[in-house]
Amino acid sequence: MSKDIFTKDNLQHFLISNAVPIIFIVLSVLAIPVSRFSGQYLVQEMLIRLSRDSFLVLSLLIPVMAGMGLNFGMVLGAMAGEIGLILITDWNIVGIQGMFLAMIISTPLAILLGWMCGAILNRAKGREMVTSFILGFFMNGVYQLVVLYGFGKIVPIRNPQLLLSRGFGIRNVTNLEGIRKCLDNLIPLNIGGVSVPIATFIVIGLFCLFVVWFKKTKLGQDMRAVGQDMDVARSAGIEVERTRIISIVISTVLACYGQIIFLQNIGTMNTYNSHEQAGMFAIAALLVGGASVAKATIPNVFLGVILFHLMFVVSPMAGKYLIGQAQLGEYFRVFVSYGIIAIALALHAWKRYKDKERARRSLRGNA
Amino acid sequence: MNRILNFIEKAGWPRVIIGIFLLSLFIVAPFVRVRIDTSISDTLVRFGMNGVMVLALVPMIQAGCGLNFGLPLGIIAGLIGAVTSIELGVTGLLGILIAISIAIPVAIVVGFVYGVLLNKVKGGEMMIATYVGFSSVAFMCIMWLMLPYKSPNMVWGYAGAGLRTTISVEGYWEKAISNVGSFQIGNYFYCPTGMFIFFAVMCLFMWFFMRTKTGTAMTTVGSNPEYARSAGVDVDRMRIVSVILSTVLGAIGIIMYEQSFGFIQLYMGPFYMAFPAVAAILIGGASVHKASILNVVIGTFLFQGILTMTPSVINSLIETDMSEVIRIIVSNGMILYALTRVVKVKS
Amino acid sequence: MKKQIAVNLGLVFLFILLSIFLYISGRGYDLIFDNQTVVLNGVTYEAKGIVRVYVDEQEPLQLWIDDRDISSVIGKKHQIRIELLDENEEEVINVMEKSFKIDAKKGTLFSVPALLGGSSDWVIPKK
Repeated sequence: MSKDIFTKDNLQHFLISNAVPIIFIVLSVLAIPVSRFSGQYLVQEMLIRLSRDSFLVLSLLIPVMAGMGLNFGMVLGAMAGEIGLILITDWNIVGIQGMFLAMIISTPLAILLGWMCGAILNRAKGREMVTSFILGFFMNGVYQLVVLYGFGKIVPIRNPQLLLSRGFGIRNVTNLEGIRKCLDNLIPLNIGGVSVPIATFIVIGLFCLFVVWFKKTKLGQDMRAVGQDMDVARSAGIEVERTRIISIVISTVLACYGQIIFLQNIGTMNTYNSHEQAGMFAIAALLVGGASVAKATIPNVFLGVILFHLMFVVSPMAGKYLIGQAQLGEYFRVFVSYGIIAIALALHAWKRYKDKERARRSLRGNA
Repeated sequence: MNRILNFIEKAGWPRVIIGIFLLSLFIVAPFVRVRIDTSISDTLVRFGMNGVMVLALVPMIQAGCGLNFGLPLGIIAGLIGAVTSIELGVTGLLGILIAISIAIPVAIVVGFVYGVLLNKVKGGEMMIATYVGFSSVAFMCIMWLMLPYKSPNMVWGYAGAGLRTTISVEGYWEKAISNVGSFQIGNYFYCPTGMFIFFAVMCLFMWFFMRTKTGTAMTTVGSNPEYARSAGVDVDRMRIVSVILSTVLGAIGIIMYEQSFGFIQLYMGPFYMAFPAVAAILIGGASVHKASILNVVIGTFLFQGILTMTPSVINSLIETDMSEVIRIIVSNGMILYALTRVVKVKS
Repeated sequence: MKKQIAVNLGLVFLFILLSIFLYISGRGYDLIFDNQTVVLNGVTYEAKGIVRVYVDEQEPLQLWIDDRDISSVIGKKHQIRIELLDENEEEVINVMEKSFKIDAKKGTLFSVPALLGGSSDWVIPKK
């Protein structure tokens, strides 16, 4: 079987595999000059957004490894993190200590939620994504029940600034002034007028090392095996259900930390929306980076965050200069975020079908 | 006792719980000074409003395409029809007729493309449908701003262009169908007879369709694709037909909804509309693979009943509006239940 | 297996200790400094003039007579330095340095004249 017969096929395969990042690179290259942003501004923005979002996106990697697709259930972790943040804000624990305390108190909650999510997904094998997606909505209802009706009644809240005027329930916007940028500014660094949140990047770097290390552990290998074929893994003596639950628990806990890092950068929290946005943007960014439902790597994460947010920053201004309406750019941005997920998911399903065909053809070629 | 347990087993726990919950709401209502006739009337109106949209889910479930989270596509087609009809300035039943007859061809085209896409992604339909729905809603946001509609009742006053977020159909065809043969008992009870007749006609149409050659072939494709293929049924074509049918019914459904509601909601309005419809049919006893018209009727009634009763009753009970939260938990909990149950039946 | 449980319990215990430490050391307080004549425990402390209050390393607060201002701090232990200025706000007449621990139960409203007067009790009780 000579290789060049299939070059056209290979090129097509390459284009299909990388269609999403290619579309994005082309769009960005076209939109950047139109938006009239300066290079320095864009570099600064990208650095901020990398530090803000990478951790959240990284938390998606492990379930992909375990063959459970994109974990839309990461919003559960984000909710846990937000509950931690509300509590430390109420106690007025500030600075880096506040952030760590929020992480510690939300960890058990995230573990619990992750375990629950994993157990539910084990009952919905083959449709993990749509189930975790709906689970996110469902838990959003529960979160509202707890935070909007339980906080201030069952959970004591002392700070009246957090509460709605009726005396219970947290306000729509929670001010996180106390821990604002506490991690980003822990080690100040400024290069050529661009400030670099070095401590956050160190944390993200450590996390990447963790992922690399984790893949090599026994558990990580088991997860890969489960991801490839559950039945084979089971016959090899791996506890499939348990492994899957652990992968979701890890993802949920990490998403919880990711959300805390994200919100310490922002400094204010939309009590009832932040987590939903976190899930959608993280998943869109990972897909933009060229990841698929079955394979996601660390480079995918960083490429994705940069490309996705470049689009995010540039598109309203581009829309404004191009058509004269910033609102249009705004809608375009929403359209792109959802559209990219749709395209990536569809391409993945289509690719699976194509790959099957390729495999069949090469099998015939060999025989 | 055994018979009761048997019934519960057959109907499924969540359905029984929801049924009992709704029943208890109706029982409690008079004690907290909620008028029972208003409540029933509201429930009936909302039942009629949403019925067709829930019915729209049946063909795709039957053809094995899963829950149609891409319902917003059909809704968008309906919105285009409704907006165009208002632009033309036609009033009364004729206005609705025009809206529907514009919406149907749009829905057929959109549904065809959507069906072809879903055929390429077999196995992952639901997730992709959801995001196709979301992105098409966002895309239409751009279109509503750009499309050259001119009617002063619809465009933003100061800009003279771009459609408003909500458009009133008052003076065009508000309640045009609802009011056919409608009657009022006392001050509080209103029965939208026309809407029920329309809904019944749609149900009958669906019932007949499911018993035609195409309809039974479609059901076969859903329940046993291998058998259908060997029997010479074009599986892909059947699936496309089901998607088109679903999209068309979605378009008609939203027009029904608007004429009763009195407003057309554009932009992000249709964004989450698939979820209550899906929840309703699941509450009615449908699964991801099987749905009947009876499921539609029961489900819509139960779900809309809860949506109507909880705000008023719970509000007067604990003086806090928890209806939104209850809606989220009930509807998504129901979808979750259906998604996790399927596998259990299979294995 | 027993060892595993012991290790886990130990870890949980360690984390609880860490959270307590973080809770204490990261707790933020709003200290209010009040520069008006006050009667504490039967002794009258008169506000003598403009003062400058340095809390830890922060920018100083400048208080006129009958003035009060807030300084936000983290943790319980703090250093303060109070300078009493002359009328032209140029020369420092009197300096008072003190390190202290916040007692949240007693309150965080501090009387500057009482501090300058050398009283050991300079927290104005909550009303």
